[in-house]
Amino acid sequence: MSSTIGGEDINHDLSTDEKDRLEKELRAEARKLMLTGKKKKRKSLLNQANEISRRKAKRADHH
Amino acid sequence: MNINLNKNKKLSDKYQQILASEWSTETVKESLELADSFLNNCHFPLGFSDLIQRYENSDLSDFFISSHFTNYLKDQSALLITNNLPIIPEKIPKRRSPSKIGYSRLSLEVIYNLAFPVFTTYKNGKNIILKGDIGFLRDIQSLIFILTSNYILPILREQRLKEESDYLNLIMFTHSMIAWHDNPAHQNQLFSIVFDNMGFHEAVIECLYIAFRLTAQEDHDYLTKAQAYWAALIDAKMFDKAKEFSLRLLRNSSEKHFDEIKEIIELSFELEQR
Repeated sequence: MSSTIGGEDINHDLSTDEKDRLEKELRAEARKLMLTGKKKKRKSLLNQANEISRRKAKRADHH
Repeated sequence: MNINLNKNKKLSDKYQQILASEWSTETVKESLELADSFLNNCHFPLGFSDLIQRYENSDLSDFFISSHFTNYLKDQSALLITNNLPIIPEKIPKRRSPSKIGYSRLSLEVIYNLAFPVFTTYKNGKNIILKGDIGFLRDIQSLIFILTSNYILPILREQRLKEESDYLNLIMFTHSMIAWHDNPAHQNQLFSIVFDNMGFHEAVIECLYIAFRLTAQEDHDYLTKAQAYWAALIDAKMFDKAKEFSLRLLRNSSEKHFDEIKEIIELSFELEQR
């Protein structure tokens, strides 16, 4: 949950169910591409899966 | 001067929609628009669109290569052996074709957002302290980072826009190093992307392994990070290590991942035979 000062307190992350579904689909598609050699596309799918899955940033000092 | 970053439901919904959509080059533009809307939602606008209003296209390039930017990059990479990093370009050549001008401008917009609020501090001479929804800013920056790697850098290489490409690689490196120092798993994930773009394949494998090792088994990204590391081993034709890793993964993971890990193990053997 993000912390806000002056703003609305809205969690911007996806729901657990949505994360589970999306990351699984993307990983499966990336595994399929292991057999066809589409390396760039495969990496892109895993990068998206990781971005969906990872814990979102909490309030922290920036830079 | 305190800058209060404010997200609202509309911005959060847009972020989620971008995350879950099928990504393409258009998604990069959507993520930059989101950053712009978010940064313009402050007490006074701080988005790239506000900056660009005060510069002609040619002046804007000068703004980004002026000494404060090159000094910023030099300072941030001073502690590293920089022989492997791109040399900081002296200037961005004047681009002539409309498409190259467009990509050059897009690169500057990415740099502005990944370095935020570095350039903002030079706008009015006052020191800037960020408050409020900083986490949301970092997550938008991460999204822009990954989309840039997936879609913008390949186009820049194809169009031979070397200076823009070098600037992006450098800013992505410094962004990973600075903005994510408190989250080493994600920091190493981002480093792996930067090093992959620079062609340092051994470093990619190392960073992916660290990112995986720093992720808890119950976290959503546990298996995604494991698969990314395993795929990098396969790409490097390190089949024995890939098989050993995937078997260990099966032993150490929860049951809900078993089907996917079994597929990974089978693939390891199948790909070795090819």
